[in-house]
Amino acid sequence: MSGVTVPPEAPRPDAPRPSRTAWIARTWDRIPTGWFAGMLTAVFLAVTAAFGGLAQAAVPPIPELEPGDTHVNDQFALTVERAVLIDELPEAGITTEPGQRVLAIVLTAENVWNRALPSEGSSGLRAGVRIAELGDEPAAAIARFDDTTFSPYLQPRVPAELVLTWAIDRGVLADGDEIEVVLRDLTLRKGELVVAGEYWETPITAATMRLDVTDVGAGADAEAEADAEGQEG
Amino acid sequence: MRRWMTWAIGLALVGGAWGVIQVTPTQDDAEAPFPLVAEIDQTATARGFAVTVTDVRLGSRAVAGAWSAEGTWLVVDLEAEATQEETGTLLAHAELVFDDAAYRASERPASLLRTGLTPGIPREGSLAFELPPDVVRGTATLELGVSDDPRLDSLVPLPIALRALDPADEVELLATGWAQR
Repeated sequence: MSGVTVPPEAPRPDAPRPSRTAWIARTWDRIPTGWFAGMLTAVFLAVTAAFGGLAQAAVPPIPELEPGDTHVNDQFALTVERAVLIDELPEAGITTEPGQRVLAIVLTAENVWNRALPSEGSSGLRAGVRIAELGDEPAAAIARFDDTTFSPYLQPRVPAELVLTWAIDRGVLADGDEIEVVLRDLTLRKGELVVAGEYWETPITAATMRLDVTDVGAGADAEAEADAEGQEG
Repeated sequence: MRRWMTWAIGLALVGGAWGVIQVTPTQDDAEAPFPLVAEIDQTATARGFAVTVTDVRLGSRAVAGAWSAEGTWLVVDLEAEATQEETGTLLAHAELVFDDAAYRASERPASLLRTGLTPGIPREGSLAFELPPDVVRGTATLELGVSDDPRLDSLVPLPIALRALDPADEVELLATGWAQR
């Protein structure tokens, strides 16, 4: 057999000229495969370091509200107004044991979702309000301020003034003490497969507010009566 | 097989799969309530209950006995009875749906909400809805049912043209009682 053997290095007339970037491909080909894992690890560590390494990411501070400020989350626009200490408040739906008094928080809540939300229950307003001094204790009762409806539903975009009450041992709080109201945001979860409906869950602290507690003794009415009697006598 | 044909068949299959996903009923569709659309003064007989809405009134103050409240109130007068059994037949689902929002009948006044219904003897009373002022401009749908959970049960929707209603200063809920008829 005879033929012309073309030397491999010989440039063929129609071959494209080696481009300027050809050296990248040549270098790439020469990297031993075993190095790739190490290189990827190095790149990953470099990127991690560039974003601050494994240090704790800075948590944005929880806003501190003033009394009268409105906190808006996906469920409610909440305006905490005042905190009152009173001997008993059965109108708000709370019963006390002997030796207990009632801490009442008055707030205005407007449902900003598109369905009526209960004030009580794990999806309702009760899950979103805590008193730091009382730990993770939910309000014992929630009632409307105007007509004392217990556990009212909150209709979309209809604000309502509510009274949240906790029974506390006498002496835990006194007139002029400061309490911290903790407002928490819940996340909407849609049920899938065997779970139906929509739920609000996973409360996360979103804002706090320091409030001075006013001790009204036996209650404004009782005080007025006592005053009247005092003036008469 | 030609290359373009492979691509065409592949794309057609992807398109077809997308189409199947689009037309597949969702879980909500599969569990949707069975609507029995009613009108005012027309009796709708649903599973387990029959209801007739007799009047719809709008006012800036609702009154029920000694109770009253300011606001934007829609009061719906109705007669309702059970058709099968008394036990467990309550007017439990009463919502007003407007745009994307659902308003629940108010539990503040004494009303027919969650009242037990009796077969053969209609109850008469009202439902009250507390609404934001701007809802009063459009058409809303009243939904009535006897389950807290309306899925896969009959539901009576009734369109209400809120704009056509003449707002009164005061609307009084009917006292819940036996219907006179």
